[in-house]
Amino acid sequence: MLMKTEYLLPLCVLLPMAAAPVVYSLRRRSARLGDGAVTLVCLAVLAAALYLARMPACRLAVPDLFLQGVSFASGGVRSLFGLLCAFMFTMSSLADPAYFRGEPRCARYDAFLLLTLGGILGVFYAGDLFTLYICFETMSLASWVWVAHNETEAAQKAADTYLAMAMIGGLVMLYGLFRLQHMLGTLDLGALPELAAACGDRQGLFLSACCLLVGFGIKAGMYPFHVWLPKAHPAAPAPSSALLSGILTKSGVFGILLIITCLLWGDRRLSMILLALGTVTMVLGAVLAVFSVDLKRTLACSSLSQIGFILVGAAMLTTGEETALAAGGIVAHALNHGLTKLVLFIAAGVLYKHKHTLDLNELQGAGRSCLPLKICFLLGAMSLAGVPGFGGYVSKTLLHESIVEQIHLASGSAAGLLEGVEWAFLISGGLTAAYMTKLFVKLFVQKPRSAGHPVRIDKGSLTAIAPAAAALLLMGLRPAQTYEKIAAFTAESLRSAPFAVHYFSLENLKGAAISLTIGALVYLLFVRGLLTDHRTGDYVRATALIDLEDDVYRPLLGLTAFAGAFAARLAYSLTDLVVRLGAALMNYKAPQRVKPGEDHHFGRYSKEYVRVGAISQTLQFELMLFGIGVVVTLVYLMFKL
Amino acid sequence: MMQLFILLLPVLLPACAGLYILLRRPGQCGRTACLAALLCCLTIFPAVRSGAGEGVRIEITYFLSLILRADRLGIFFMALIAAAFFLALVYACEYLGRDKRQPVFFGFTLMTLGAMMGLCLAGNLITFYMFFELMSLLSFPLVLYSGGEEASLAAMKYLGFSVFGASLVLMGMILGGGLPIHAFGRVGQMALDARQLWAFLLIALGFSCKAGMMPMANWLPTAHPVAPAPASALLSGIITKAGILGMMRAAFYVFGGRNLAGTFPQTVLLVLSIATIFAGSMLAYKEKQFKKRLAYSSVSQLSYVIFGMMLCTPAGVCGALLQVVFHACAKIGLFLCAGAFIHHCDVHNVDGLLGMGRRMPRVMAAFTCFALSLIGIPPFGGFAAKWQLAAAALEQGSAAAQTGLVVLMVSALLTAGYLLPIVARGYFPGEGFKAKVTDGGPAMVLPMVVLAGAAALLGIFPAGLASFFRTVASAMF
Repeated sequence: MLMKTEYLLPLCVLLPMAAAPVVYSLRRRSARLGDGAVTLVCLAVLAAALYLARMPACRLAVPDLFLQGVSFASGGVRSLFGLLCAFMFTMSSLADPAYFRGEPRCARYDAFLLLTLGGILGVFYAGDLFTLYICFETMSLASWVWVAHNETEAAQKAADTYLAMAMIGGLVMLYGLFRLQHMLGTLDLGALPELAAACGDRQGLFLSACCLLVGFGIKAGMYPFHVWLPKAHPAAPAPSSALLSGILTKSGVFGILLIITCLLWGDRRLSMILLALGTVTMVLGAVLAVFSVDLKRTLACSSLSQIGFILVGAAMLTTGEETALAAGGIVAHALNHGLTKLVLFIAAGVLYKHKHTLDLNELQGAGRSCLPLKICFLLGAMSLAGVPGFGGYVSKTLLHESIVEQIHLASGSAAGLLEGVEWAFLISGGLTAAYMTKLFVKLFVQKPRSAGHPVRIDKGSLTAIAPAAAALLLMGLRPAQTYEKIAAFTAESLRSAPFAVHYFSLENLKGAAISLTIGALVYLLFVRGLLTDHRTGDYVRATALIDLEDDVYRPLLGLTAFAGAFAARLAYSLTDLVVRLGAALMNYKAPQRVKPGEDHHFGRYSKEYVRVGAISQTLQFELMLFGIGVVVTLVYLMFKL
Repeated sequence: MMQLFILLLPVLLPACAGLYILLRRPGQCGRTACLAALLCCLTIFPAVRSGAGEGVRIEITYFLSLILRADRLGIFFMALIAAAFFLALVYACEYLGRDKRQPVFFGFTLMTLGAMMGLCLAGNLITFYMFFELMSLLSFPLVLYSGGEEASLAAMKYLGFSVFGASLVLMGMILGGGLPIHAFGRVGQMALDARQLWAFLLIALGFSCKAGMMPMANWLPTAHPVAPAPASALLSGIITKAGILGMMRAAFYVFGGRNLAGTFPQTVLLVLSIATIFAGSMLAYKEKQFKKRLAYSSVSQLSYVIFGMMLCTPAGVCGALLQVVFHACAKIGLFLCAGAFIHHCDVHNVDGLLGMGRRMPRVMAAFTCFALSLIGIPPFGGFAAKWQLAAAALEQGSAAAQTGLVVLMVSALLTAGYLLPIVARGYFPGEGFKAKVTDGGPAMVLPMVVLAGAAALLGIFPAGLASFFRTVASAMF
């Protein structure tokens, strides 16, 4: 064979990045050419990712780049996430032409789409944390352009928050990497598990890992770092919201999985942190989604909640015992969530393109007449809600079972706590069902208020969402042949083993039944009862009691900056004070002969102008003479020797 | 004599060219100046050959002798300085346009270049001091250039701080006794007594005035904004580095890095540099005038170098030198961008930079690269420098170093805070923004492209540079 498999790894990263400027200039010339080129590059990357997933795991190190040397690796969960990422980018790029028709500055969007693709694949295929960091930063910055792309006021604010969070996360993470590198001597992911297990400084290791957790947690949307997510995802154009929600959050999840498996395997404290934050994220996201009356914001909050599910699974994985179901559940849920969000966000984009609003009340019945869109949305919604027979049911069952297993392993208060988490899990599942029903009924069942142009879905968007929607159903019907195979494929990289579960046993169906019952109750009693204005049939706009960003983070940041600036100014102006004092002392009762402030031409103390060539001011003239003197001296010295 | 002639050529060539420009009738002289700077770059090569080894010694009295030689550190600084001057002069051709007084700018810039070449070639502290003073005085008209009261006061401040700093150096040299006369070289292990330690502290503080470390940083934010953009670029990016070079020479070639490790001057300088890193960034974050913001930023960034250097380890010196290179690239570039904004759009304040990405796309693209490099975001070089500095700080492990690392991260965040909003508002001015495109001409954009390319390429492939610096650093200890 001419080319080794491992060369595909950097190629996956570099090809989209190198193609970005080319696509930029192509897209400026012709929309068709540019869009075609984007899809082509994505397809090439998809083919490479597919090939990499089918080949045995491989690695490639390039020493000396970026001072530290970079390396890439494939296999297991990396290959799966890489494949998912390439698939989602390809599908999303198919929806681009229709969504961006008639919009300005699409070339910019396309170029940064490809840059982000390169960055995110670099995150998944990184062989060490250093490479991962570099690609992570690239991805963060490139995707920032997506959020700001629309240039509305909301988009600007969301983009500022996104950028600030990304910067803070990146730097905290970098600090953690510095410490890890110093403590363990390497950041190579292959060597880290052993070194970390043997590391004597547990506290230092834990703190470094927490720094990484902050960085990844911000990207994943983990509470309390989630504030950017419900603002940024709706602000971005729909095809990129799908990617932000579906796959960029997964890069954070992927990082957290690396912390668990490579640094703190079996660490109880990390497990507790993840469990607490995961549960809060899961419930909070679901509650926010139920209240939201904005289509894309509902979906974004739903993403929060789903990431919370995954984090709870991650907490179960961290315990290090009986991890097979948790590992499988995480992978399956990440996969499902990605596909679901691809379907839902692009469907939302189709609706937005026709109605130019995201307000649910104004969108009432918008998609009623468009059957393909309706079916795809329904499939996505059913899967997200965890209806048996769909992918979401399988992954939620796995996660649920993993909690149940941990309850059996735990004892005393820990078991009680976990039971509480189990209930939170089931309730969140119910809320998911409730808000998805709310969306579906409003958009696709109720009659539109006014007759307008019926929504039509274009071929590109349909091609983008139909495969994912179909996959969710087909894979959900045959979990043993699909999800279990995938879980087995990734099991080793997550330090767990393959498994087999009876998904449609009574025990497992019971969980889904409880969730769906709760969902039905919430929908009927709460959403239709309290949240609906019965005269108009509109959903009531609820205002949040507290906005974590506007009420806590921004004031806190402002205060810190003020205090810092005050201290800095004080320290800095000390010198000026001393100079002033000195000047006052010197001029005390002394005739002021030198007054540079009053003389317009400082230094012109002779009455006559001296003019030689271009020089007319005497001080400069004297400096010039000085220069001549120096040159003459040097030449003299030269000859004296 | 031939050896001395070749060694002095990089000094004399720009100095004579500068004098020639000054004495000639007023008129266009940008091309002559650029040519002279380019030739100066070329004269480095023979000077390096002939200055290797012992170099040339000129004995004036028994105690006072001048030494000229070219060691690795000097060669590196010569290359950096000459290249930066060349780029700034090319830029100035367009920036100064048809300004009648431009011979003053070009002439004194070239003479400053000559003095700085001498500074790099200096083989002992006395020679260094001479050229240092020369440089301070010759760069003075650059601050004064734009005329007016503000410029006069700023120039006065610049001169005052320079003279005060130099006097501290002189005091230190007198206090240091026999040490400053020796030729620069590897210093053996010895115990420094209190007098010598104070001497070092005075010398270092004196040089740090030029390098913009608190408590003597106040001249930078006053002098940089009033100077014409290419001059402020050189002042901020290059002339401040003379102070860095002075500190390095004093610390590692006169007093010895190992001897200084663990002494009180080291702690004092570390603490001061850490305070400056934070204060500079914080003040830049709050500053609205663009060039002043950049000047504060220099105050902060240069103290990264001092911090790395004063860790007194080879790794720290290596990190400091990397920071020297990448700060020079980024800061010169940023000042050139600031000049382009002023020259073409008459924008002095940060708020006026709205939509700059549409008005001056090429300049703004370069600005983005420089900003990312200064913050330390890969793939740009600032990242490599920061990585090396952090590794050195952790390796050294003292409380000051640990604190410094945290402050370094906070400062990086603040750097992002004062540069990225400009990028954000420049590219995303909001719906309905309309403006004419008035981009910089080739003479303005070309130097920016070169600098941005250098920051990116050296950031991605820093191995050669880093190994060169490791050699330099290991020769010091």
